[in-house]
Amino acid sequence: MSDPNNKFLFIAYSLVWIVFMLYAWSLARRQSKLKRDLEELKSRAALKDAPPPRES
Amino acid sequence: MTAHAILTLVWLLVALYMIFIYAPSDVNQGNVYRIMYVHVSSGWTAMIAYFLVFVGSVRYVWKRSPFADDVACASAEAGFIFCSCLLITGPLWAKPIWGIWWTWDARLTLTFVLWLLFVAYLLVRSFFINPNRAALLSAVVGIIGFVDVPIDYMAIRWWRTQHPQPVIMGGPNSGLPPSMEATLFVSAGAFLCLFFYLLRQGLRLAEARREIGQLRRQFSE
Repeated sequence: MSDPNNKFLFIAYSLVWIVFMLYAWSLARRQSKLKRDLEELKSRAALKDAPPPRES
Repeated sequence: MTAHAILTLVWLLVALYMIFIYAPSDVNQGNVYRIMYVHVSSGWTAMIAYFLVFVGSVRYVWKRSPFADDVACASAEAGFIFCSCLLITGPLWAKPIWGIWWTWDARLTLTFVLWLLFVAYLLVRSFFINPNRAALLSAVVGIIGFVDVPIDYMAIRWWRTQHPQPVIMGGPNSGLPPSMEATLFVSAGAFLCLFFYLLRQGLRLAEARREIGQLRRQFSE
């Protein structure tokens, strides 16, 4: 690594790696949030559709 | 982990092996030329991404297909990431070789315009609360903006630019040694595979968002 220009190579690949990691993290975070919202809404829908409780 | 994720990961690792071990150093540029593999691959992928934005936008305007809108939106988001990588790696390669970070030549300017178009598409989507209006207006941006892509691609063939002439399909005096060309194609393939993986993830997000919207509407009725 004696070539002084190697630092540009290192920075370029590091930055590209960071950009992709941040985007993948952002996608995963949004997916898990939407999944939680969806599950909550589905369980609310199931409660709404269920017959009313009857007294024994 | 899905098969697509594993394929992407393996392909990226093979590309990294070829970039840093298989491909030889350049006689004039030394090792710094290896930025080319990520720079050119990002550029090709960003252009393909905008082509998909265009196709999805045309189909949405024509057929009002929600899936076409999802494809355009997910492609714009992933394309923005690849175009950003293109604009990050370009100056980092230009500085040691040209002695400058940036110049407003035709290719660089049109690539910056492409990045701005991705930004505009995504901003238009986020500005409107009404999803149909957001989809329609962003589709208009997607269609009009596509004019930039072929001009950007041809800019280094049509005009004298600081940016070098094309190394692939650039005419009789262009080209790379076989080992470098193979590495470039493997890298580009890996980036394309990554792009389609990210696109699929974006489509899954859009699908979940649509399902949530439908459920919320059911509750409000």
